[in-house]
Amino acid sequence: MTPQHHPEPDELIAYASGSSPEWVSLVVACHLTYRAECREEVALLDALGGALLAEGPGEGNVPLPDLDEAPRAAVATAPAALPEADALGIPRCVHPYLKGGARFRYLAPGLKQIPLALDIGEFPSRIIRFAGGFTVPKHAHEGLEFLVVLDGVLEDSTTGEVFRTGDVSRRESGTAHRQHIPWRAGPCTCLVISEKPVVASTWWGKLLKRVTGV
Amino acid sequence: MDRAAFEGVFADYAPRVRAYFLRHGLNRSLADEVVQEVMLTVWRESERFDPAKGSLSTWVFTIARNRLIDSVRRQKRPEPDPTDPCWSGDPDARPPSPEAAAAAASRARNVQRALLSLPPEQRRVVEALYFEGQTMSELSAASGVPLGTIKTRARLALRALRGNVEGETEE
Repeated sequence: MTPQHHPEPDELIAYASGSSPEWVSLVVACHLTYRAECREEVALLDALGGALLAEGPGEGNVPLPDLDEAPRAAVATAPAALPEADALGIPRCVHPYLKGGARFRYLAPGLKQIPLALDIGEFPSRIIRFAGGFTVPKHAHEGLEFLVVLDGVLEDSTTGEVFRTGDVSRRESGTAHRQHIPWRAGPCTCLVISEKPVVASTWWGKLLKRVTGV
Repeated sequence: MDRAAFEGVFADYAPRVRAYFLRHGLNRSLADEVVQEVMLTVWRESERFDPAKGSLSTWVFTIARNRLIDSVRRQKRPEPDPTDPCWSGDPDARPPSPEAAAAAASRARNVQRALLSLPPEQRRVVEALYFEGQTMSELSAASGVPLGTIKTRARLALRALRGNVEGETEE
């Protein structure tokens, strides 16, 4: 059994309590799509919110609204799913961010991407598809980075950790590593969201970064 | 939920939802406005409330929380979609049954009980996160308690809730 990589408990708590920023919530929602045990955890954390609400004191009198004026129509809450994104195996929580369409565009040999309409700071979020055998040259992080594997396998060559579909790789600012996609596992699709661009530390990495902006 | 039932729910929850928004720092007029929106959502969508998925208090809390993020903070809250082709490992698709509803109600009661027995410092962290919209870092800065200690308290509180729920369901 290889270990699974979940979000930190703090991130699940922030997601349920409503204090996490949108980009971290997107990472959590992606993970929850694949992992029932974390959905159970979030259900428990939602129940905690309910218990706090039910147990706390109320404040003031609230007038009952005119219910005759309020039609009881079921309101659609889920945004429309994109069939072409479903076909690519992109989870539906990501679909609202696919403003430029759900089509992978060539970035460099072995790399394709779909940019997402979710910018935090100076770094655009994106979905990246790595070819089997691709190596991400050694690079350092200057901000927090989340990577969620949507399909395939990604290995961290520095730590030896293996990330599979649904796993979350979380890199803190000030860490450096190299990653690769095992040949036999085929292509790997990931959601990548960072606070800051990475700093490449090899000539090949610097060239790749100049060409791709990744 | 018929009108009489809703009026009961309204009397119970509207002042509490108002307290929730006031503690998040909304001014009174905005809080009054969003309370009405939340309670009208409860009325309009009460057919969609599924007691097998969670208690009424949990459902009202999630509506209030989502409204806070959406109308007040002007952000989206991405959520997993159970009809997603990527969805896997599937306890959420259980058909609604009296047993599932009873299990959800018992979970809510156990969470409530565990909440009451949390040590005050853990309770304080949980309230700040859920009711004051503070992140753990903000809470640490405001209270002078190191971030690591805040995280530990939050995790211990979570473990207490989980332990209580699991312990109870094994009986």
